[in-house]
Amino acid sequence: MTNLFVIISCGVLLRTWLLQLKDLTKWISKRPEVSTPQTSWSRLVEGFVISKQTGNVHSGDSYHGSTLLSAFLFHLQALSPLLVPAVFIACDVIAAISLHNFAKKFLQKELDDQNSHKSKLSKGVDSILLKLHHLENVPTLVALIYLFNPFTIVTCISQSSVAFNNLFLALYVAHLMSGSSIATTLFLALSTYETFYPVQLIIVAMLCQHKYQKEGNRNAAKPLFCFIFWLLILFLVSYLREGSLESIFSHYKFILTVPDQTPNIGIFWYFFTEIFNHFQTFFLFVFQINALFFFVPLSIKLRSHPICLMFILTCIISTFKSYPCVGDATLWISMLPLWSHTFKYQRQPLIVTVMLLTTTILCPVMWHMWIVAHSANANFYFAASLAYTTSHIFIMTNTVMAYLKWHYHIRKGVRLNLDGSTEKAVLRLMN
Amino acid sequence: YTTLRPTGQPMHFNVLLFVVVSTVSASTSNNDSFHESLNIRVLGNEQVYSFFNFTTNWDFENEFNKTHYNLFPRSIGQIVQKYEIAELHFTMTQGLWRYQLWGFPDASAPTGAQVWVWFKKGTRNIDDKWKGFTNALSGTFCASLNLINHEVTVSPKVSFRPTGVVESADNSLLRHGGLSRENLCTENLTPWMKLLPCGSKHGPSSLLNPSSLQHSRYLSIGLHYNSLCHDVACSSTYVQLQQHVSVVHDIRTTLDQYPNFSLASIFDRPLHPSCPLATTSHTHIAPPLDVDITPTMETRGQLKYLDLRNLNSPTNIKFTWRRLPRSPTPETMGIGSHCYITGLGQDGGITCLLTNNEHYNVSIIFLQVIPWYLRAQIHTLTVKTNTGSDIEPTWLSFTPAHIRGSPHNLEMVLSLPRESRVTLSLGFDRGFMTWVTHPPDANHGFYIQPSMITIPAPHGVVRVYGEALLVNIPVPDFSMPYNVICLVCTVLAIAFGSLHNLSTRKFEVVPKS
Repeated sequence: MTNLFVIISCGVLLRTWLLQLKDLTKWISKRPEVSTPQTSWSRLVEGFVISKQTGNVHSGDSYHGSTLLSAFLFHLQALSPLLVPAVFIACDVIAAISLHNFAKKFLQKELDDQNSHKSKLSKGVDSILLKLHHLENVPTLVALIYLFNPFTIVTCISQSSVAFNNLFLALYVAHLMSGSSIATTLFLALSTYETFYPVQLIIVAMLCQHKYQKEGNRNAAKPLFCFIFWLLILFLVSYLREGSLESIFSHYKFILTVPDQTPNIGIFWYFFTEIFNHFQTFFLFVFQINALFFFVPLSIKLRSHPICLMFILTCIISTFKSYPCVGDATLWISMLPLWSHTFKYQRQPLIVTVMLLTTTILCPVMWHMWIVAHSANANFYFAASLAYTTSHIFIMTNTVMAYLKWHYHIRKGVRLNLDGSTEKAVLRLMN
Repeated sequence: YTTLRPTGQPMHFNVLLFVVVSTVSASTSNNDSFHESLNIRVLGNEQVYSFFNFTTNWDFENEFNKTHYNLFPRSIGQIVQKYEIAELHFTMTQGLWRYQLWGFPDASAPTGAQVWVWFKKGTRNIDDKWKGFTNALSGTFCASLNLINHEVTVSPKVSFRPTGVVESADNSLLRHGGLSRENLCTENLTPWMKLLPCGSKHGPSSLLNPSSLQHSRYLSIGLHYNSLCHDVACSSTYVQLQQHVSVVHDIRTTLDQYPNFSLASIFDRPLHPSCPLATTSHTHIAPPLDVDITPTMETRGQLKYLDLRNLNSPTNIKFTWRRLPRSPTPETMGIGSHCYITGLGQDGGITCLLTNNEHYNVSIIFLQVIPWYLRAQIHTLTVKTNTGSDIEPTWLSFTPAHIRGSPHNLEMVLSLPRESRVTLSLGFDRGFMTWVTHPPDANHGFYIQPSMITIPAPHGVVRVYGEALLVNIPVPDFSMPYNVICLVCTVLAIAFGSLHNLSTRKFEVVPKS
């Protein structure tokens, strides 16, 4: 607990100090990797001014976030401009604490599960088992990684509204195993209301309800109904505020039809800049299905590992959403230590990590060369963003594959030649 | 005389029409009149400004006579009727009017093409009508006015007022569009001159020689149609079509030379007697003090006056300096405007320096239209005087743009303090367009329509236009579509393949072969 307190204090101090450096924050908040058309703070400020003029924050194509978030931040800023950065710092702190608690609960459950099935485990697997020291260190590590990940820091000091989405998702995962499906679905509904894509995470809430709840409270439909209820409440409140459905749904239209081709680290912008008009609709469907459909096969495959499912779905959303930014990746990056006991089954972890780091550095460099120095063209930035996406894909599939492999090994033993023969054997994926 | 213009009808029909039209024009000759004038002003001692004005008034009885046109050009009449237009203003300009050096022009116009129209009250589908109208005008003047689409069209609230009488001056009936990149060429001049009753054969229009007009520093043509009242009570109205040409020629080549010139030397032609159809036809000249004009002309106040109806043969008016003129002294303009683009990389901005040299505060209306692909941010708007104090706009209206839709439209009423220079700046982000929406030569950049300052004056308004601003926006690689499609789809395939593996296959131990 002391460790957590120190980490949080340092995180807050670091952010407070960085927020004083106005030139730095201004430079960072203009980075396309940090601020997307959907999350940018300057667009939100523009929305405030436009709503004073026209009465509607969504008139024109400046602001594309949700109605309630803009109203909340607008009132907050009206109270005191200092409150806004304070709230952004608070978002990170609460998210870090939530993730810490979540990691603790999850590992405890895993450990309990492992110990209760000790008789079923294969012999000689002690070296790869989840240990008590994992339970002691990993939650602090999760909070540490979340608070000191450069991606989180730049998101916080640029006041990109993705920080709120991360907070909602962190609170959602923190409540996944606590049993309160009302709280879980509230935060999921808030996140869905904000960015739409997390809608697929409802399946995780349903599976968790089934897996982690006490007997008699395992009705998987309960979270679904709560979720729909909360969403309706949110839409109702925004309808009462805005007076029309059109402006509420305009930001979902913006997410789904991707009209803004401002570069970001995703795969949509350059593709839809370069695609022939004739195929635009077709590929729009292909890309959006890609971001939304994987939850079906994955939730069947990972139905007994809902947290693992949550992890990979969060990855998929942050990689394939229409306007991704580095802030989206912070959540799953901080959850990586949860699978630290399976890391030895990772394939090419060094290459993939270096790939992620390199592209993170290359993106701003390429951007500068293309936009400011005019010594490169759009392809350079596109290449960097494409490699960034590829590294995401490798990390998420490797992590889940490693977890499944580890699971196989603790059940079937570390020695592969099960029949006792001396012949060498390997683990293969088979149909 | 003949009032016939080419109609494209068969010959025998033309002959028949000639008889009919002659009769009609004889019977309705009281109802329309044509006035032509030429004003010449020597600007400093380096340039000469010639302003041609041709006015056709048509006092129709009840309604627009749909079939019989006499002096009023049929092509304009038909467009005005078909698209239910109450008032039409169209200018095309090559070059930039130097307000600080030359003072106010007789008719102000921005660089490129500008069209603004008031539709009649009760007109339906105004946007469709506007599209049809710009296409019709485009065909009439051989200009690319059909490119005036929803991306450059605005309906400003206070900058434009009808110049004549209209039933309703609601801004929902107003459409304004501009193309700053549009050049004024001979192919636009020819159809414009064909609208004149005498073409370029008689009167001031005889000077409108396309090749000499193109050898000018500034050239602007305009066409303005509106309805006017006969009397103060406005019991009856008539329609008026005004056609303008403003042209500025250089007259001085070297400093030690007398800048003597004549109409023949700048227009390559002498001045012909008036158009026989013209009710009035005259020339006003505002010469500097030490210039002699031949032939001798009647003096009216500070102006020299010549009635072209009294001319018998083509005349060349000569301007001779009595002594070598001193270096030019710039005219002090009441209000000046100078705009430029700022910013580096994706950030950009428009800065306008507005100068007020008057000894009193001047209230102005500032209008700036910015296309959607430059994402203007109204929260960055600042208006500061040269002493550093902020000026709060008296009134401000900002219409934000839509992606691939209507442009940003900033309109505000400002009070410029006396003898001050006010800096107005507005930031924008350079947007990104898909490769098919870029025009040819995408690396040339895009023009922003000039800012417009409207100053209320005793008779109507005075307008001061800024520069048409060229902005570069980031371009995609136009040779890449197939590569991009392949590369992105490869990454998608990697994701699909890995996730497909993950979800459909399971682990099995197999002997290592």
